[in-house]
Order: sequence, then structure tokens, then C-alpha cells
Amino acid sequence: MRLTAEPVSRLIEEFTKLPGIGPKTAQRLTFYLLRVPAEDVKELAKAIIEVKEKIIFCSTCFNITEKDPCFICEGTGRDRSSICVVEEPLDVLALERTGEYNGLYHVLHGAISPMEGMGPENLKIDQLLRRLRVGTVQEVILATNPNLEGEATAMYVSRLIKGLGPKVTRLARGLPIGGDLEYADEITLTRALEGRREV
Amino acid sequence: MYLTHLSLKNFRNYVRLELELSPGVVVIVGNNAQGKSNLLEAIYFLATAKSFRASNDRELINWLAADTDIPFAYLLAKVEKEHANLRIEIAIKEEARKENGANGATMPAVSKRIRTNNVARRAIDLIGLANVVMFSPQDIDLIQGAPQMRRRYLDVTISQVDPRYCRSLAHYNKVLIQRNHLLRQIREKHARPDQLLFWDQELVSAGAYVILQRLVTVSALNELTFGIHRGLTGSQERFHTVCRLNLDVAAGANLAETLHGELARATPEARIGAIAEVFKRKLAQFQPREIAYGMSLLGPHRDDLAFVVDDREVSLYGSRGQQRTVALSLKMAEAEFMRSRTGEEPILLLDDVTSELDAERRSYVLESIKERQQVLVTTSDLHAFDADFLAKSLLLRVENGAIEPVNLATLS
Repeated sequence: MRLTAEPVSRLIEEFTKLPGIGPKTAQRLTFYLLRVPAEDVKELAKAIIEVKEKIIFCSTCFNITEKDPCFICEGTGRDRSSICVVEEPLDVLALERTGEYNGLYHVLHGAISPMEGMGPENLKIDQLLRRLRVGTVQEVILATNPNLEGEATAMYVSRLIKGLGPKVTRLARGLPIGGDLEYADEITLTRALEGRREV
Repeated sequence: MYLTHLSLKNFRNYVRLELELSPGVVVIVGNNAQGKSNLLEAIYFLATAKSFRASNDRELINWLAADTDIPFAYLLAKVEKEHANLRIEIAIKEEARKENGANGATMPAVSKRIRTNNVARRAIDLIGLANVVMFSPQDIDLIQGAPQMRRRYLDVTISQVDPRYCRSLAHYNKVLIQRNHLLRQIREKHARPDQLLFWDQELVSAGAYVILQRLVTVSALNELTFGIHRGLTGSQERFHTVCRLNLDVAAGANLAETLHGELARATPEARIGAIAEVFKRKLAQFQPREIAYGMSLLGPHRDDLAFVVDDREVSLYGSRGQQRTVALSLKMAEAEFMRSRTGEEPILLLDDVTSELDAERRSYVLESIKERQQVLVTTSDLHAFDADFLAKSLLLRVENGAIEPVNLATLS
């Protein structure tokens, strides 16, 4: 059954493949693009291609970058004695936004999940160990997600680091800021209690 | 606790239902296929976010509504508790069909939204707020069915009174899936045995709590079923349940023994620690075998229960009537157990149970439920109840998805 011109239905189909976009949104985006000036569409297309062509992974920390090494690994003002280990490049963005962390990063590109066939060999763990063997790093902060897969990864990595020298720390778990105690689930509250601090 | 109001939209054969309920016994009468069980299913679903018979939540949406633009079902219960009122809402909605489904699935997804007292909740947080105990003719599967049925009986009973059990069990099951995949990968030489360390540790810590609660609960249930069974049978039969822990049966542990002596009076954490210690040791022992099989062979996911009357196992030697009585004893004990743990009377749902019992057992059951805070009983035949019992009950007639009060005087 043919409902609309072929190029239009093709674009709709391409949009539908994107995460978070259903058939309705894909249609709306497509018909929106039909109405905007040709230059704007060319800009968009160029931006999409550039992101694919110009973005590479930093050979040191495996964060996304346009030049290797990335600006964080190269940065002169960064504290080179600490590495924060995260699962995804998006996590670097989140930590950078805090403005509280001035060290280096290491992106693992995933977490251990046997169910999805993700084992340690699929992650950038060997590369992390190589960085640590240089000997300048004093502390490794494990900032993988506080779920089962993230915990499995954190434990695996921490075991390998032990003996290499640096101190290994894990992000604290507990209550979200601005939250209500009564709405916290038991596990979060238990963890928050375990991790309580003297004021 | 008791239900004061139930409202259903597009649930099973109820297109629209508003029902006021009172404490005490509610008898729901109707012919087959009019919606008696659906009504109890709705209440059970509101309390547990699960159906006791549908395998997919989509089945719960009225089949006429399922063909409309926005297929949905909506359930609401108002529950009066000892110290608070509770309002539970569940909306089941069919998601828009995605032609290019990621995994090529053709079945439309169904989403479930749960709110209690107007606050959105996850299903796991709903469990335990309203307690129900369901009695149905299928209860005999407890005796005859697979071990899974017996584990579910225990899991449902404990989860409703112990949120930590519910979470530990969910955690355990998640770890189990990952661990099984890993074991298979180790067998195929795609992974190394030392990667098991984390998953073993999680399996042991979540599993130890599950095991402890199962042991404790079975012994608490035994204290209750002993008397209940004698009342039901009018005999001197000695009935008790044996908790066949997989760690004991398969790996030669004796956890009940482990918890004896000093540990009997120790803190729960110390007792969990003792179980974890044994579990860990046995896991290490079984590792080569688990790798060879490519799956987890040890742990509470393989526990079972055995029901014993006068030293004989009921599933092997009991008559069908005896098995039925044992199932009924277990269910009545479940209700009593919940009451003793939560200080609230659970709502009892009896789905066509009376028809399966002889006159003596029926009168014992009816006698013992009379005093309960709220009981909903379905039947196709009012003659199964004596006049005195009916006079003290609220009578409702179900016909084709509609419910009307029945005036006892007009009944012939």
C-alpha cells in the first residue's frame, strides 16, 4: 500500500529507527523538514555527517573527541593523579557539568552483563590498566552505575587494580538531593544509612 | 482491612462497574461465565499487580475495548485499613503498535500504571499494601503441581508481609539469569571462572535471606496448619510441611541444624551470615559441575515443599479429597499468618471453593470465615449455604458483567 511519496516514507522509516522516536514523531519531523528552507536542511545533514566523520575516540581515555588526545587528557589544568571510570561518554558529560571534578576520565563503553554477551574483554579495561601501570595515578574513582551490571563491573575492575598502587574509591550511594525521605525505597535508605557521615 | 468500593472499566467482561462493599461476608452468585471469577481476579490484581490466571496483562482488557483506538482497562479499589484509608488504581493500556519493532515482535506491548493514594508507584511497591488470600479450585496444584507452584505459594505469602523478601527474591532472580549466561560462556570458554566471583557473592547474599525466611515461615505455618487441619477433618491427623531446601537435598547441607543451638537466638543478620557461609562453601564445591551443566544448580530457586500427614507424603499417598483438604489448610494458614504478621486481617477471596467440599468440611470453612473482617465468596448455587449464613451476608448476583443486590426474601 502506497500512502505518500517514496522519499518521504523513506525518511519517516529512518527516523523511526532512532531511540525515543515512534512513527507519529517520525512523521511530524519529516513533514517539518519539508517546510523549512533548503539551507537549514543541508546544515542539519552536514551536522549529522560530521558527527560521524569527525568524532573519534580518544586513544587514552576513550571519550568521544574530534582530536586525539581529547581536550581533557591534554588539558594542562587537570589533576593527572586521579582517574574517574565511567560506563559511557554521556556520564563524562554529567560529571563535567558538576564542575567539581578536575581529574581525568576513562570510558569503559559498557558494563559487564553476561546476558547481553558483555564480558570484561568487550570493555576498555586493559587500556585502563595500562594507564595505571605508568604510575602517576594515585586514585581511581569507580563511577559505574549503581545497578547490578555497574556493581559487577566496579568489583571486577577494583580487583584488577588492587596491587597496582592507586587507591580505589566508589561513588557514594544514597538519597537524592531535594527528595523526600518517605518516598525513598528501602534499599536506597539502607545504603544511605550504611554510608552516613559525621557532621 | 476491607474493600469499600470497587470500580472497573473494560476489565474482562466488565465494561463498567461501580460496586459498594461492606465488611463481613459477601456472597456473589451467578451462573457460569457471567463474571464471578473476574470480579475476584480484579481484586487480586489490585492487591498484587498480578493476575492469578492471565499470562499476559493484555488478556485483562475487555475484548471489545481491545479493538478500539485506545485499548485500556482501569481498576480502582478503596480499602479501609486499621489506621489509614488506601486508594489503589491500576490502568492497563495497550501501547501504540510499532511496525518496525526492534525485535520484530508483533504482539503490542501493554503498560501498567499503578497509583496508590494518587501517587505513582512501581508494582513492587504495591505488594503488601493491601493483603488478599485467594482460595480457588486450582489450589490443589499446590500438592500435585510442579515445585514452582509450592515456591510461589511461599513467595506470595512472605512477600506480602516482608518487603525485604520481595526485593531479595527479585534481586536473586536477576542475578540468577546473568549467572546462568556466564556459566554457559565459561563452559564454551568465552569467559573465565574468576568472573563468577561477583555473581556468586550476590547470589549468596540475596539467597541466604530468601532461605532464612522460607525456613522461618514454614515453621510458623506449621504451628497454624496443625490445628486448622484437625478442625477441617475432625480427626487426629497430624499434618505438617517440610521445607526441602535445595542446599540440603542436593548439596548435603543441613541448614535447619546449622541454625540450631546458639544461632537459634542470634540476630537475623547472624543467621543470614551462617546460611551464606554454607551456601558459599557449597557453591565453591559445585563450581565444576555448574560450569559443565552451564547453569546454576544450587540455591533457593530449586527449593521445594513436602506435605506430610501422619508420616506419609500427601502428594504420593493422599486421596484427592485429602489433597484438597491439605491445600485448604495451607490457604487458611496463609490468611492467619498474614494477620499475625501485619496486625491487619487480609481480605479473603473464595472462588467456587464450596462446591468441591463435602458438607462437613464446607460447614467448617463457612463457620471459620464468618468471623473474618471481609470475605468474598462466589458460588453458582446458593443452596450450598444455610439460611442463617445467608441472612448475615451481603448477597450479590452477577449476570453478564453487571451486578445487582439480591433480596433474600424474593428467593424461592
